[in-house]
Amino acid sequence: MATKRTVYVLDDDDAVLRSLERLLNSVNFEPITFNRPEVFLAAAQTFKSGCVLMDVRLPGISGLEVQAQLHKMRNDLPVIVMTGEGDIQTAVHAMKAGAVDFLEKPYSDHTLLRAIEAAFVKEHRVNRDSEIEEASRRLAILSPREREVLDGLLAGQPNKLIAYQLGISVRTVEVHRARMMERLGIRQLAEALRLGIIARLGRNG
Amino acid sequence: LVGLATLYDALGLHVLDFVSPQNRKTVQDQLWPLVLRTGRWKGELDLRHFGSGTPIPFLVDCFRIDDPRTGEPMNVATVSRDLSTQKQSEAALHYLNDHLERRVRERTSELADANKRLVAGKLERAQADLRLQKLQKGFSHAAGVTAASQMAAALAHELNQPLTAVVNSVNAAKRLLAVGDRASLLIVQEVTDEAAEQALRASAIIQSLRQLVSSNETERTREILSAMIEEASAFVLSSIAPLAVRLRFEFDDNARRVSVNRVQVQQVIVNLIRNAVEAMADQEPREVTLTTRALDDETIEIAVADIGPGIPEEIADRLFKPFVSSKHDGMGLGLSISSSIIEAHDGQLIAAPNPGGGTIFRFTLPSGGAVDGD
Repeated sequence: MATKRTVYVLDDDDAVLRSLERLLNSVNFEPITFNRPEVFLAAAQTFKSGCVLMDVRLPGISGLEVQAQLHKMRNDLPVIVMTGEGDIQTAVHAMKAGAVDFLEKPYSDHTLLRAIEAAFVKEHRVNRDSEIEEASRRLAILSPREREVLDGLLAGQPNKLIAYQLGISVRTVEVHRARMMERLGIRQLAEALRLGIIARLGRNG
Repeated sequence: LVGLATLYDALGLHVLDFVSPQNRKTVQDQLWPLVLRTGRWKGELDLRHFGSGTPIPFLVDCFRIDDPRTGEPMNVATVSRDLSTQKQSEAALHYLNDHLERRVRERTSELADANKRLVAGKLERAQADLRLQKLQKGFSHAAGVTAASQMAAALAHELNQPLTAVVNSVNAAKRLLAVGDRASLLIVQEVTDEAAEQALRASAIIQSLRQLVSSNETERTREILSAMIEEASAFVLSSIAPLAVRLRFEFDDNARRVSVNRVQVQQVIVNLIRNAVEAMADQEPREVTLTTRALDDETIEIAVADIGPGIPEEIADRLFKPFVSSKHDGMGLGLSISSSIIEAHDGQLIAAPNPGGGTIFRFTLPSGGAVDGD
């Protein structure tokens, strides 16, 4: 039997942690779980190779801070961040800080496992520039309005606020949003946001 | 006075020559006989200025001089006084009066105008007040909406945790079932239990939301505060080790009654005592002091003080926001709900460091009025 690949999981919610442990076990990963950021950071030095799956909403310390400290010690570990709804802004920061992906809770197991698989591939350092280029190319097919709606979503704004700022109705925002997803050929909003975040990394340098 | 240079000039004159021509006839026909008949007349008469001929107002006092022997009228003498100055004064006074009256009329109309303006101003102010009130209402409504949407966002986030766990667990179970060996099936049983548990947790969160929403409809009754606090304390003590904490009560006799929603306020008290006890979990001794105090006739303050480690600085300013917690397993709803309940009672829940170490939570409640025969 091949050596199991290790996923280091950090989430302050014990139930989420336990369920992730169950799920990762069921697909033959080796999950090692932490519910306290300080314990996680203290142990990070001893981590073997693997990937990190962590929530950005943590008690006492921000997920971004944990990510930054981890990066100082172990920049070899790809990090996937998990966010709750409305944490898009944080996700953008996390991606900028080098996270390879972000998942919006709750996520399907397919999304999760695909992200982890991709992270293990990235452990071997896929060029991020090509990823940015790819994301920018895909987003280029959007109309300016669809792009504006996506930007609003990336800023963590609800449809209502986006509608207000663009001077259009909420219903129209919804139409643009649906069409944007259709054009990108994706079903989950998180995926569209991920593309937007990665493309933005290119724009902002 | 009347323009005669010398006494000599005067001697050759008749008394009527002194009188102005307009008055001469009156004097001759009426005054003269009147004086002779009654002996005296006093009145105003225009005399004549001999130089210019202009009439000069005089107060003339004429009296009959009788011959003491015969008793017959012998002569008429007059004592006259120049009224020019007085007349001028009178005229001036008259003018002044007129002027004054006019000024008064003017002022009155000015005042009426001013009053009108004042009334208009008052009306305007009242309207402005109304607008302000509307604005404030709008603001507080907006604030309420913001708080509600903030709450909704936070709640959505918090719901995502158990939902994520449920999705993970169910997916794990599905995969384990696919493996189908005995060991896997045993794990499936546990995993499905865990999923069910997390579904219940999600439902509990929704319940607390419902509670939060319904806390806006506050039905108040007059309650005895000390009884409420003692009952809430007993409730907390029943759920922890009996000697785990020492509770102290300091009740103000002037703060006996409150007008509150009993269940909700007791929930707040229970919550604060629990927080206090939990804050001191890692120490000995543990002590919670509950104090009541009448701030004034209308407001009563309740304080719950612990001697724990105090509130971590990084969450102190977000303490009453939903889902902020320093507890490892805390959902962070307690204080935000408590704060909402107190606000629904027109009060305020605040936290401050306890001077002797620890934290004091204070909140205010509307007084239930004076104690009357209970």
